[in-house]
Amino acid sequence: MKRLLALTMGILTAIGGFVDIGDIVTNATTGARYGLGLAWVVVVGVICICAYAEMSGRIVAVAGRPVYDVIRERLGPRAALLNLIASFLVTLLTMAAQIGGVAIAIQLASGIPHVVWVAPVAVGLWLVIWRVGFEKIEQVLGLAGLTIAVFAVAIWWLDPDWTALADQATSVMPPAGEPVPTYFYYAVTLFAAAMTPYSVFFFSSGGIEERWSAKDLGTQRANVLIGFPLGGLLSLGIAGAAAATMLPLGMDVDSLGQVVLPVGIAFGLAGIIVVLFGFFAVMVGAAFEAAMSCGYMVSQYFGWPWGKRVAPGRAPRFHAVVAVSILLALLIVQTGVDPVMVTEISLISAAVALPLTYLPVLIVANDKEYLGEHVNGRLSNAVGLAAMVVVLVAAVAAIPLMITTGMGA
Amino acid sequence: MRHTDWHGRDRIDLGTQLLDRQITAPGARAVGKVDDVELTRRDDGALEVTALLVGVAALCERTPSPERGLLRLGMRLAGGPDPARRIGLEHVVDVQSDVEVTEEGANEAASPAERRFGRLVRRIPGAGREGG
Repeated sequence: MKRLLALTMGILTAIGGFVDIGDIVTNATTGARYGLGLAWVVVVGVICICAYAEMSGRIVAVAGRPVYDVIRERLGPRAALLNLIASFLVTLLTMAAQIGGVAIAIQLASGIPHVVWVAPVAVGLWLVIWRVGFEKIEQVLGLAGLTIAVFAVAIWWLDPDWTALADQATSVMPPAGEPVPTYFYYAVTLFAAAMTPYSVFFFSSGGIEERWSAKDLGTQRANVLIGFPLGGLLSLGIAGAAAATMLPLGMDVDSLGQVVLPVGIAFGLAGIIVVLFGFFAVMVGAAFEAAMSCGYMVSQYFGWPWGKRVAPGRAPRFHAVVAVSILLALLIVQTGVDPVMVTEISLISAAVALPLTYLPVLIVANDKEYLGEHVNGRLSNAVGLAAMVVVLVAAVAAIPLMITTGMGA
Repeated sequence: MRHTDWHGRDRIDLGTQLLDRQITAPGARAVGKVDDVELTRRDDGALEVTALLVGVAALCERTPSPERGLLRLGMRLAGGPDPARRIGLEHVVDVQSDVEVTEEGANEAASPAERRFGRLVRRIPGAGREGG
């Protein structure tokens, strides 16, 4: 029974942990522009994040080594340091975007400008990390985040043209008249939103916080293989709702307020309240994961004590890094920069940096010295290598596509 | 590979088998990384690993510019630079995917930066709560 509960909670938190401001914004933007025409990217992204998280989870459960520990061992201190700096900056930007997103959700609910809410949100985030237990945070935010399933319910309620949606979902090329580079620019951002490195750092480090061992491999694998795909479905719900309501009107999405629109059309004020609550929960959850990941990666690189299972007084450098990261993220958003803009930049940077953190995990997942009999089988390697190719293509294409399309304009 | 498998081998690649591994004390307590190793020349002319070196100062010795400059900047920001610490090989209990050392060895490698940050962090209410 306890095991079943652990499985259920793990799946729920994986679903909640998958969706963040990156998924919300990119799915709504692409849904309004291409309908479900980029749904295949979400599917590919989910498969890749499953491969990445499953391998890192296995390395944690069997060898007890979190991602950045492995990265430094495999790449050496110099390459791993550059890798660390790149991933840290990307995760910092991601956290800034989430904090900004939370502030905007409160603005939409209260009418008071988001810049007023940035500092209270950041301070609240730090207090939660300092005071509240790891599993409690994960479970409460994961469960609360499920409310964004209201997007999927809204599609069903609005009863759109289902054949049109199905036609869009089965195509892998841009609709007639749409420029190809812009379509693939959005494909890269959507992929990066699905395969965010911080969620893997967090997932694997969380495995150590929750003391996984080889006998938890089954539970861990089920969490990944059920949780992330369900998270992907929630994201597709956002895209589908935008496709059902905004695509026919020719509307663009360029703010978080517009993302809420389809649910408002379906369910009125009650729907909007539910969505804003869901946004608040998933973005606070993602900000929590990103803040913890900043601490995890630096501490693991240098071999310091880290995590919430030890008292903060025993892991002071970890908590210092977390606090300074939150402060830096706060300063970024407090400048008044548009959180949606920060999100897009963080996604493109994440796509570029991803191979650096993915490759060492793939290598170690094949190392018998670490994993013994639990090394990658043929299927894991086939999926793992295919994911590596996709990750590389996205990384190489990201910057040129961003420049040629003027960020998807 | 376990370190007991090293006996009788002609060569050991310290770069992949020892350097940059996590050092842990009893109870899986993180101590630091094997940032460098101390090599001593024996009477027969062979080099012998006599200690693990821990700390960013030791890592700097292995890192070329400009990354070394970044590490030095980090040390200064953390109130340092602090000298590297040494864990004598007699304190190494086992080498697996991590390097296990004795409590005494871990204490020898205690970080001055950690002590400084600890003093600061422990002033905040709730700093002593475990599993918080």
